[in-house]
Amino acid sequence: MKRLLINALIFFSISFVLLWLLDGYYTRYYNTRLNVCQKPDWIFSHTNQSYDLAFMGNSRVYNMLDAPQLEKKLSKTVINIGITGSNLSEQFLVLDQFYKKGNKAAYLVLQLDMISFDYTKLPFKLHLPTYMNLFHDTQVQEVYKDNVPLHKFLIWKYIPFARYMEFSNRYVLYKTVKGGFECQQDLGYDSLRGGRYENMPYRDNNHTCRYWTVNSTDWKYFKNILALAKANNTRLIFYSAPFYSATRRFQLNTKAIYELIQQQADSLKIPYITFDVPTYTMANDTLNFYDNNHFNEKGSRIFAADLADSLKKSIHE
Amino acid sequence: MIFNSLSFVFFFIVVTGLYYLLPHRFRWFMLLAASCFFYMFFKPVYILILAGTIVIDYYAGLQLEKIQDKKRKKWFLIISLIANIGVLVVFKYYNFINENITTLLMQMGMGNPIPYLKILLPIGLSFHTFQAMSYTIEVYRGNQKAERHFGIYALYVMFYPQLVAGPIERPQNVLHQFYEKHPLLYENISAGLKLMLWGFFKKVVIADRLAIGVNEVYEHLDQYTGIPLILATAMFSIQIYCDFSGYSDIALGSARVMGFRLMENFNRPYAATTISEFWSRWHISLSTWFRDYLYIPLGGNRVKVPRWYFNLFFVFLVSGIWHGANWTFILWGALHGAYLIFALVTKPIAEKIRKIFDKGFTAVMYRLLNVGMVFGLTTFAWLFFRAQSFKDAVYVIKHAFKFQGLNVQRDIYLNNGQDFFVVALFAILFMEVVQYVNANYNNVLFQGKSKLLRWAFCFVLLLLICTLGVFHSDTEFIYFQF
Repeated sequence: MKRLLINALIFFSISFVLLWLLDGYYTRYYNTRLNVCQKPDWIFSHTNQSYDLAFMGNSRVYNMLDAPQLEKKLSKTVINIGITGSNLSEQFLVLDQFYKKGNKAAYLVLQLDMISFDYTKLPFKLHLPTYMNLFHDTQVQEVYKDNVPLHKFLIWKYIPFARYMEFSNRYVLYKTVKGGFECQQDLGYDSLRGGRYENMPYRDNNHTCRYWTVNSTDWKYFKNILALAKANNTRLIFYSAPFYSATRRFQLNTKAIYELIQQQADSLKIPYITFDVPTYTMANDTLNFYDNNHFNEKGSRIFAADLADSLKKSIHE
Repeated sequence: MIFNSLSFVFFFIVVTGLYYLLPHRFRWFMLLAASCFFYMFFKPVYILILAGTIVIDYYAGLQLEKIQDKKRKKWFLIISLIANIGVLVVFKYYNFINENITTLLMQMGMGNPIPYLKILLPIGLSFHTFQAMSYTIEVYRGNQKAERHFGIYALYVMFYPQLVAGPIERPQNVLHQFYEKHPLLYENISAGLKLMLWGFFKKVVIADRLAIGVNEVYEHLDQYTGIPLILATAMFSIQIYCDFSGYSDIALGSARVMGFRLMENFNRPYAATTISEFWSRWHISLSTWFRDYLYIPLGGNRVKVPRWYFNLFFVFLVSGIWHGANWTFILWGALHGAYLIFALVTKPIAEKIRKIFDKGFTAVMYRLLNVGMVFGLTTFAWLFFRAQSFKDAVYVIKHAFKFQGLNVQRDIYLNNGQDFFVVALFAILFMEVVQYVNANYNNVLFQGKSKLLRWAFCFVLLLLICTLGVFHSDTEFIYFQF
């Protein structure tokens, strides 16, 4: 028994040290060698930059926002920090890291709609593997804690290397030894080049009826984003991009959600521009859409011009 | 619950801990409860099927021992076998048989009125059914006393390490172990954990990695011709070995930690120089099951030559059917039967050739050539095992030698990047070296005298599992489907 305990202790101690060293190596490697082919790493590759406008949201920003055109129309510097399939907690995490890299933004233009406040209705969750190298950061830990079962969080936190082990398809030893990634050039996520929906024909994809509500975790991170922006002297603008109008009838309780956004905007004196209204006619034409939730390239360009016009007013105010 | 999951790690720690903390008289109950929990983790309701067959076989065992009249005794054996095989037929073969009836009737321009069953195959059904059958047959033959303790008998069928994918145990080897007191011995814990570590290495580093490439090719067959088809099939040979022997190692190891010794299921099968040697090294518990309960009762080799060949072929045909309700499995079994018969027919010629190359370096080369040939033949048979349908298997055969210009990313890396191929190759070579060293140097890496070497090997394994293991996909063990 005594021999067993001593040997077990030695084995676990040595294992712990070995894994701790590996953990440190991976963390250092993936924090310094960013894979700019992936949007979060592309965002984190920007350091000590100042932007007039930072656009944040999910795929409806990532794919639908033509930043160069906005820059041209507004004569302002613009960055698109939208992450496809992200919920508000992930957007908070990205924004926090964006600031921690020394970046500044005069305005944070936040795309909000019913999806933003209830991600549980869609099969999108926090991209778990993506931010493992940032796990030492307390804010990142908080986001993970709110998005994964507690036992997973505790394992990742207290067992060194466990988180890299679980996502060995992203954190690949071979690549760290060989050095770098297969793709390291800047894909230009600011423009539509990073998106998937260039010149794609419309596909009628989503007729699922959903009753939208407000999820407490999403609400918490919505508030966190507002506080974070304020702490970094960034002014906020809310906007809602349109969905293909014929599918509005499948989205239930959206009126209440938009009223809530308006209420928040009013109480905090934040400009709110909504395009998800029947009067916005370009949302009636399938030629502008890739699917019911996303513009195609043509739609994005039209929308960028309209958004720029609306933003001009808010920025000057 | 699969072995390569977090739930199993917790389960294993708790069950092993409780096993040693509890007094001996309560251990069987705890193990039985834990095994039930383990099984119910997959689909709870199927425990009822298992319970049903356990009750029948337990009662049949008692009767088989009590009754002296041979005829009546035989009837009880038949009832028990029908109950076990009946469950297999209903859950595993019913829809397959019905599907073939439908095809046959359709060709005659008729419809099939027999309805299909909407049921899932209970996990590990073929394994625990065969284990239960070995009990009643052994009691019938008088080689094993009937087990009077119902709980112990249930545990014999349900013992969690070997419940879902074997080894298919014999009552003589296991039952008495449930009565023995297993004290907490360092040797058992250490040997068991090392075996588990080795099993995990084979499963998560090799099998699950190779699965990525193999699945890529076999799920998009129409996109590949030539080299990738051959490479993916050869990889599947190694994948299935590492997957199944990895499972067996974890099973043997987790039993050994509690002091139980289960039978070895694999012994470097791809080092075999003949097909018959391959079958004495591959899935040993199933091969010996078929030998003892089917091949020998059929007359084995103590019959006229044509009958002997028939016996061999029939056993392998049944082995194919045992693996799965699909013509591809039947063909796989038939192929192995044909290989063995061909080897027997050509044995005199093969002996003459062997004698020519029997000395020095040529003997080594000849041996390597034979190893390569056995690997090639078994790989060809595995093709039917892996293919989703007979049509897919035919596609692979037709297109495997249609070579296009070499595209390394597609043909060698199987569209999975350089790291997939390099790591897989490294891991396979590592495994081969370890297996060779352990086989030829008295298991030196696991149980050698040098503590430093043993510990260093364990840490290397641990690091390889942590850094090269595939943990991000749902990778069940291949043999769970049987």
